[in-house]
Formats: sequence, structure tokens, C-alpha cells
Amino acid sequence: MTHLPRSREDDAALILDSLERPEAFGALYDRHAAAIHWFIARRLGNDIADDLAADTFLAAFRQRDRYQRERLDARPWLYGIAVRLIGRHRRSEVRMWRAMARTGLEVSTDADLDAVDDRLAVTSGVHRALAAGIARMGTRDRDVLLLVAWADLSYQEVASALDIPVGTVRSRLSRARRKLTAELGGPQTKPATEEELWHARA
Amino acid sequence: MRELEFVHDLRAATPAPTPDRLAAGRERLMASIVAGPTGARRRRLKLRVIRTALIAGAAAAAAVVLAGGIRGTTAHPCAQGSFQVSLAGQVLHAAALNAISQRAATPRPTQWIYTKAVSYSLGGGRTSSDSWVRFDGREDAYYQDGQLIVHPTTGGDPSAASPLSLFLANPTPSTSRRALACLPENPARLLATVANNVSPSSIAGSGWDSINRQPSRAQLEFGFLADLLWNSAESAPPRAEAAAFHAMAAIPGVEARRGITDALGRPAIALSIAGVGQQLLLAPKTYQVAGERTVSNGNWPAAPKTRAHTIAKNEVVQSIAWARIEFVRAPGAR
Repeated sequence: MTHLPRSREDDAALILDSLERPEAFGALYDRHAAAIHWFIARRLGNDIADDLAADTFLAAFRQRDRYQRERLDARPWLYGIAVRLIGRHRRSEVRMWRAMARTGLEVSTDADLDAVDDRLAVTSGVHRALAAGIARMGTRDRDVLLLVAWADLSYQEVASALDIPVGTVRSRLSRARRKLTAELGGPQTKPATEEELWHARA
Repeated sequence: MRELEFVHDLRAATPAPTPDRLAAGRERLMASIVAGPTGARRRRLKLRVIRTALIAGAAAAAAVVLAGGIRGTTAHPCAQGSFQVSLAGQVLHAAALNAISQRAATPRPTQWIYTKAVSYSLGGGRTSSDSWVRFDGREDAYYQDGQLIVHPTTGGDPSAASPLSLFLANPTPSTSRRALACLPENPARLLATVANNVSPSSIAGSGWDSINRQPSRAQLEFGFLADLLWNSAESAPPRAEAAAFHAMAAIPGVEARRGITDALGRPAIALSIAGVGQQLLLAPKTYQVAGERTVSNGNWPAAPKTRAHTIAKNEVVQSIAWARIEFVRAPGAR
């Protein structure tokens, strides 16, 4: 279906507008909050995601005057803020990944009903191995890996989100993938070459 | 590359945020914007209480849905299924995520909408049609022998009925939008509202009911929401559309099936109750509403001149898909 084009002004114009009309910032929340919330919930559970997603937009609102107008898409900026906030819960996240690797259950740190869904969703052996690998890798490598895999950001966007060079993104992702390959332990999961990755994500 | 694909699917069953959760965060953000730092902190404490209440309410409501009784003591007939994250749940929550990220279109009543639809019927083959309808449904138009025909239509009296009954009596873009917008965002309350307003008699003659003359409550709820989403595709309020998808995920027995094609031959995901009857088709990448179709449950009456009395189970009886749908300046414009 060719969905009806909904006039989608760029994020930069919206943020610029919010300097004059602060309430306009609510539209940025409407546009991106669901995705940011889900990203955080997958790493820390829905309860913490409720707080951190709102904190992400509050922090973004407070620093919006420093937003670079040439960046039409605000997602890298918002994910960058979210990742920094997630970093404060690093121990909780690692505990969650370890528990998943150990039990094979997608345990969450939630206590609410939504988490019951997670606990009942038994994961595959591959997912357990991946969880073990993610638990063991460094925070910075994990951030890059999950921004690429879950937030669907390009290398350039990840670099922008984390304020690091693109080359560093590549090297961190490469290291993360090597760790996962080792956990999966099979030639069937032979990693792609840097060139393949470049073509896939650039 | 396989590691990235595996990681992509990891914890993908995590529930997407409900409208209640997002609303609480938005309220907190806006309160902070309006009140400033000191007021915001005070406000935040209050909002935490509200949020906890919302979550507790949603959990209680979900528990009631799963137990099978939203209102009264009547058990939901399909509520005996296992409590786990299904493909339908994942698809519908993804559809809600997509919906809420869209910007709302707010057409004026006299706005014209052009649609090109392709439809298929068993024994009748595939046809396409171009048509125009005004947003308020007061006029529609089509070409006949090269000439544009514009018809005035009766839209009913908007003040005489509730938005839901107005939509059931006269499904136009405007009544669809109003009906969708009036529904509660909480899934359990939304389904209860539908159950209180939609009955087998209210959908009589709509076509899909003839496949099942005594539809279950789940089928009624699903059919109503599917029609609402289909009819309001061009102007659905994002939050209301997301809420409808979340509610659909809470209907016991709702299923999703991949590998389906719509009337245009495009890949689609089919949502239905138990795999037959009315199906809502979503585009597999964008999760936007792409089409509708009806699949025989084995009891659908066959055409009179055929040998069989009924159409075989799982046979596609009819199917329709949007090829184009756009706002235009006037009838006849594309």
C-alpha cells in the first residue's frame, strides 16, 4: 500500500522551533519515544525504560540549544543520550545478560506484568550463547553492537551518537562480533569481512 | 553477518511500550517544560505515583482479559490459550510502534481522497478501480465511460449517534477517524467498549459475517477493529491507531501468518482469528495496513453452478488491497 504521505518535517526544524516554542518539543517525543523506550526496555526492562526514556527527552530538551541543525534526523542524538543514561545501569544490564545466558530465559529486571511475557519466552541455544558474549564484552563495544543491531543506525550515525570517529565504530563492532563468533563457536557463523560490513551498513 | 542478524532478533519479544507508558513520559516531559526544574522535580514524584497506578491498572486489566472476562461474568470463549509472546503480538506491537511514529494528518471535511484498489474474488478474477471520496463522505466520484461521475451521498446525522454506531452505519474516512479517536487507549477498556457497541446484528450485511453467522466475541472485536483500521488508513490519529493495534494483540485467539500475498501480489502478514474468516493484511516491513481478505472456513457457500456446496477451507474467497491512496485537490485528480 502506498501510505498517504504525512507531512513529516525534519527533526532539526522541530528542535529549532522548540527554542521559541518549548511545547513544540513534545512532537519530537511523539515521533521517537516509542523506539527509544523499546531500545532501553530490551536492555534494562520496561520499568527502567519508563524513567530513562523520559529522562532522555528531558536531557535532550535541556541541551537542544546545542543541537547541530544540519543533522535532520535526531535519532542518533537521542540514542546517544539514551546510551549514556543506560551506562548508569551497567551492572543491572550485565546481570540480565548473564541470567539469560545461564537460564535460557529472557529474564527482565521488571516486576510488572509485561516481564511475565519475557520470562516465559524461552530462548534458543544461539540466543543463550549471544547473551553470554554480550555479558562478557566491554560496555563500549556492546553500545556499538546494539545501536547497529537494534536501533538500525548506520556506522556514521553511531559515530555521531557516541561522538567517536567512524573508524572506532568499525573496530568496536568488529571486536564485538569476534566475541560473539567465539561464543557461537562455529564456522557456520563466519564473520563477514570489513568490506561486506561497509557495504551493508554505509 | 549472521551474528548481527541473530542479535537483531535477540529480546525482540520485549513488549513495545503501551500508550499509557508513553503518555506518562510525555506528561512528565511537558510538565518539566512548563514548570521549570524545581516544579518538574516535584511533579515527577507525583507522576511516578500516577505511572505506577497506570501500570497496575493495565496489569489488572490484562489479567482480566487473560482470565476471560472484561465485563460481567461471561468468559471470553477464546481465552483458554497459553500466555506467551506470539508472532501476532510481536507484529501488532511493531505495527503500533510504526503508527505512533507517524505524524497525524488532519484533513478538512471537504478534502478529497483518491484511492486505487485492486480486488480479487474467487471465480471473478482480479479487477482494479479508481475512486474519489470526500473526507466527510458527503460526495464520492468515479469514472464511467470516460466521464467523471460525482455523487452526493447521505452521511447520516453526526449528532444523532455515537461515533462507533455512526461508523457502523456509514463507514467514511471521517466517521472512521472519529470512531478510532473516541476509543480508550487502554487495551482492555478499548475491547470492552467495542464489545458493548458491536453485535452480530450491527455487522449484518457487511459480507464477512455470512461466513460465520454466530461470530464469537473475539471475531466481532477483531472484525470491527480490522474494518476501522482499514477504513481510516489515510487519516488515522497515530496514538489511536497504535492503541487499536495494541488492543488487537490482546484479543484471545488472534494469529499472524507470514508468507501471504495481497490482491496485488505483494508479500503480506495476515492477521486473523484462528487463521480463517476475515483477515487484515499488513506490509511486512512497514507494518502498515495493506489489505483485507476473507478465507473460507469450509462453510462458505460455493457459487450455484459449481459441483461443491461449500468452498474448501483456507481458500481465498475475496481479497482487496490499496494500490494508492492520496489526498488530492479535486475529484478526478490523481
